[in-house]
Amino acid sequence: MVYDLLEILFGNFLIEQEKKMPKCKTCKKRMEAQGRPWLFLLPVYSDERYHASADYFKKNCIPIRREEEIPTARRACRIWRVRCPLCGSQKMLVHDFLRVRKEENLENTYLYEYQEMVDLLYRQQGELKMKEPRYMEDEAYSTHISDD
Amino acid sequence: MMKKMNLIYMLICYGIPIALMVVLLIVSLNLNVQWELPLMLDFVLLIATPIFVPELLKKRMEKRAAAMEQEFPNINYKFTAHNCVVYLDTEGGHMGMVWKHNPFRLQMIDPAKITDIRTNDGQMLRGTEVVSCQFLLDGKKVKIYTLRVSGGQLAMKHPRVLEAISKADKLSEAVQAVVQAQKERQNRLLYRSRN
Repeated sequence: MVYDLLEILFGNFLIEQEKKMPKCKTCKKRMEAQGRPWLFLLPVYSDERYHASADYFKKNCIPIRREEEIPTARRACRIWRVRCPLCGSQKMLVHDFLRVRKEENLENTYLYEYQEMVDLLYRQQGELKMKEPRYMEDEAYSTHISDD
Repeated sequence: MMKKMNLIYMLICYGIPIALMVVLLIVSLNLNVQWELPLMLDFVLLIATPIFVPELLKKRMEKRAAAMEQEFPNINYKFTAHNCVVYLDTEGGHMGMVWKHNPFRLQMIDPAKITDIRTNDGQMLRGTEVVSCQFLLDGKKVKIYTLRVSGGQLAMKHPRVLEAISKADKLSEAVQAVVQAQKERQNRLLYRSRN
């Protein structure tokens, strides 16, 4: 019951905080997005986990143009180039999300150095093939909500 | 015809703990009791049976399903739900299920008899307790749960609910692909037999 109440009071606030641009570690100033985000497909589905790193995204991200191109239950990511308005340092912000009909569920947020991922931004559509895996395995959820 | 439950199996799984409870109750009532152990064991069984027996049934279902997997022609998609394991061959148009209450057979489904495939998000007011992919098989409803919540509801925008809906959507698409593949296979056979 207590957790339900906390979720109602603070859930949306925390989600909105998560979606904001990150703060620069040196200046503590909120970084600004430079232009529109790039959209990529990830090779994972629904609630699958992966070991996130700049290399992982560079090897596996497949560029797409619109959200409508995301296959059902497939995870995708938006990548922004962000810049600190004070010191000028640049980073790459990755939002890993799952698109469910018209809703989006933000799964994870990552921040990397600009140089680590700049090559990814110039990847053309068709460079990496988008394939359905030959074999997929999935499981149902079971959740118990207890009253505190 | 789909057989979801094996009565003898269910009688054994639930019957043994219930019989044990009855025996312990009789023993504790008949002994001149300073010996409370049978009654305590009875109480423990009463609490433990509804918790552990379904879990054991599920584990047995998964184990049996894994042993029977080679009977299935070509697995593209395997989904483990609370009540069944589903195997789908979206290229060849085959579908098979192993049920929790009847885990002794991999039951093949004729995709030609599947209609009305959809995702049921179970929305009641602002939340849900169950999310499932459901379809009609020979006019009878079959539900494959992707989420079950006990003790309350989760909000429709809760991450678990959204993930469960996406799994149900994926499953619905896969079942639709199986039905489509089977139709194409039938059409090819028909074309060959005419020529």
